[in-house]
Amino acid sequence: MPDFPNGPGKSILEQVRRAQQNHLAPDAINSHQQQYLTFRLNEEWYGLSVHHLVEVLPMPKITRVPSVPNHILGVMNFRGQVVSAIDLKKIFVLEQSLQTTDPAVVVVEHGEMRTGLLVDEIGDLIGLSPADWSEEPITTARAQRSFFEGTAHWGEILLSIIKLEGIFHSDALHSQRG
Amino acid sequence: MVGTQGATTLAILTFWVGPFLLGVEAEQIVRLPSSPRENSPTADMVLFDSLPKLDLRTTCGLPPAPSEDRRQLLVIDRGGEQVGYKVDKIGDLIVVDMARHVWKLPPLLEVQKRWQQLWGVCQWEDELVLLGDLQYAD
Repeated sequence: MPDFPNGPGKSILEQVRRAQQNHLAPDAINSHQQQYLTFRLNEEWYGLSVHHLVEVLPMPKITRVPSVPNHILGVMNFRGQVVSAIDLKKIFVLEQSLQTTDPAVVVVEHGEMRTGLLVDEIGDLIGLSPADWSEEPITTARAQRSFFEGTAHWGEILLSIIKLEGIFHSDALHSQRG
Repeated sequence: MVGTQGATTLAILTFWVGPFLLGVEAEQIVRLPSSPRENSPTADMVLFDSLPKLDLRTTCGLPPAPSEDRRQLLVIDRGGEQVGYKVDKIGDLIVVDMARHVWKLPPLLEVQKRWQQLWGVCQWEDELVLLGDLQYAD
């Protein structure tokens, strides 16, 4: 489905900006649909509401920080602001893949805090309507259920829809272990 | 802090500990290496032989250095008491614009850091330098 041989590039960013503008003018679009950015971690696909999205970056330079939990990859300069970069795989307790060809960082905003999320691959910007949804998350691990709103179909792929506040309020993110 | 043509700048001495590029405000340092001889690790270590010393590799969660021979010492004034910090290599003395190139730690890091002396980040050329307050007892 995704087709970004050189990283997400400008096209996805322009789509995101248009979607965010449309979100501010709901009459202009089908009000039953919400826009989501899809991305991959290992073999699984995820959806993130454009509500929270600030930017999608081809793999930026991330500076490692000593003595922090291992889900924190480091810090990066994003538009003249220093933000933390975190490894979603560590939060979701997924295996670390050996090789990723198109890694990217999705910069999100939660409250007034901007954070970069490392992903293996950017997919597409899609519209989902309530009919596409199920509130039952794919994961059965109770500790991780708060990370997801539910699931939705994207063609033949089942997406886990991310609930950002669940991640940012989680013990996993704020744990000093690791 | 140094005032330069209306801008407030910060003089920072950078240094390496393993893969980490770190920095400390120059005014915290009792003695800056100023000549090749003084900059030699042996001269530093002998000169400050009797000082209490802390190894920043331990603070950074790194294994001990394979050899102590090439390591260097930062001597910090901590409220009148001198403390030595062992580092792998002293870098450059840099001056950065506080308003444009110095930031506090992002909130997530501020909450999760285990090294409490870490307080900020500055941009120097293409690098981000992690700033520590070595006068503060960790």
